[in-house]
Amino acid sequence: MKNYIVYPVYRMLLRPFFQFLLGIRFLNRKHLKQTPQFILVGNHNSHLDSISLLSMLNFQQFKQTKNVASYDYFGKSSLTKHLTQFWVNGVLIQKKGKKNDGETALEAMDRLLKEGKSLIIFPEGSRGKPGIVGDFKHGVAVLLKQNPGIPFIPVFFDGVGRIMPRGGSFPLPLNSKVIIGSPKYSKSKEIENILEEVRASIFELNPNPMVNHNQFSEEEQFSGVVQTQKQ
Amino acid sequence: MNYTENLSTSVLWTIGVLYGILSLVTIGYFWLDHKKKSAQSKELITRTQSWWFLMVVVGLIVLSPALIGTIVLAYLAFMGSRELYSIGNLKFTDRAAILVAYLLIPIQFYLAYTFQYHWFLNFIPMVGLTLIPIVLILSGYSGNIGRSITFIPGVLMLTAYSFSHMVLIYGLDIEGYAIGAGGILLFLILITELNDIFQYNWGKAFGKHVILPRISPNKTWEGFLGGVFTTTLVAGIFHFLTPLSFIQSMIAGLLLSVFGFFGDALLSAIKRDLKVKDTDDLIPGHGGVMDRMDSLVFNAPVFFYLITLFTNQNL
Repeated sequence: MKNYIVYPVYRMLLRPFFQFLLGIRFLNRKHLKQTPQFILVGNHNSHLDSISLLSMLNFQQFKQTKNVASYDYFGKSSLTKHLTQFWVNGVLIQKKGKKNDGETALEAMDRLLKEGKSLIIFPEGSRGKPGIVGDFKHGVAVLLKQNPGIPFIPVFFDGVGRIMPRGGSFPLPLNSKVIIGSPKYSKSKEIENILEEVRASIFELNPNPMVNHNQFSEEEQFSGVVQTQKQ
Repeated sequence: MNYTENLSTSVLWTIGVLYGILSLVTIGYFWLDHKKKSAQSKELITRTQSWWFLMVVVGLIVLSPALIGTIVLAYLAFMGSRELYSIGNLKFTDRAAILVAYLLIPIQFYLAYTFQYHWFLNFIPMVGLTLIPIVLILSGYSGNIGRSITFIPGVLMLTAYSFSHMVLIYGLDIEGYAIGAGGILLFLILITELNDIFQYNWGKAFGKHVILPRISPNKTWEGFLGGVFTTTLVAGIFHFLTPLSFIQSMIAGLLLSVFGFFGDALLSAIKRDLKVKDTDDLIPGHGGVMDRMDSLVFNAPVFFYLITLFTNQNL
């Protein structure tokens, strides 16, 4: 029932709003259409990241796709908890160590995948420092190893973080791109190798992100200009 | 000027011929691609697709009623300013001011559409240049504020203020001229676009002496002068689209050619300063909206005032 209310909002309002007003361009959307179940992995800089991805899905996928969100951040009050679960298909996951209803975060995500759900995961965890790619948490690699039949789809967000950066109170229209890669099955067995593969396939989508020629100091900059050097 | 009724055959013929040429070129390229599959022919096909897209936009501006043309031009101005703000190396504290700048665009086009000439002229120079600095000051950060104070309203002048002059043409009432705003707008766009092509090709064929080596190394005296000469002649031929006489039309062509060059060079300089090649990669083979409309930045106001001067308008 919920999907019949939320999906039209995404399809009729948010998608045109993102594309025609905010200036987000979605490249290679065909990769999304072909795959029934997937794990979407991308670099993370803005709350818009997952919402813009959800607006690109078709109804069948939208029903099945869950957005992995941190309980610590979105579960602060019952209002944000509700909003996350209802409007952005969120599943709230406790961080490492804490239990959600008797299962760990990884067990909960694994169960969702076994139920046939797709997941949106940002391996960096939080939106992080503006424009800088943080360390990838290895959870996604564990999930891919446990579910070898499910492909991951790498997504590169180039400049989306500038539209609504951390601390920004409104979305500002600026040109940006969401580049969607082709679905991939990880061949490796080692967690570290899978993680490296995921990371590499995200960044090979856009070898030349909007180059940072900013003469201003770091605090002054618009966030979201992605620097791809390895850490 | 009631313009849908008066839409004349000369405008339809000119547009029709342009679409015809483009159709022939498209068929030719597809035939070429069919005969010999190569990366080059693929490139040509994406370029023609882009030309079709541009021609549809031109058709909308020229042939549709004033309201739709205004909306199209306003959206183009919005896209142009969005491109420039995106590459403009602005700061976190500039966000509110940029939002204000975006909000001024529809108001400017509304003033042009309703032909409130006095307000139209003053809106961005006065309201923009007071409101945006005030918002910048309120955001509480002084670092490089001089750049923000000039760049943010400056982009509005180059996009919204300039292009909204084309909307004013919809509202002109010229005695003894039955073709309608579509003819004048078509003349402006056609001559500006042809001038780009002429200057480029003259430069390519005979270019030796670079005019602005540190801004745009492709622009040569040979290309510029050859372009000015050809455009002036061609503009004379197309005087049937406008209320101007043959000689007046040639003067318009001369000015459009010169100011088209400056608009082009200005955007080149901005891009070079910001170290980007194009403002965007929206239109394959052409770049962004501002890459395509750069020559119109000065041409739109120059041509509007030229028309009002030649036809003795009381504004």
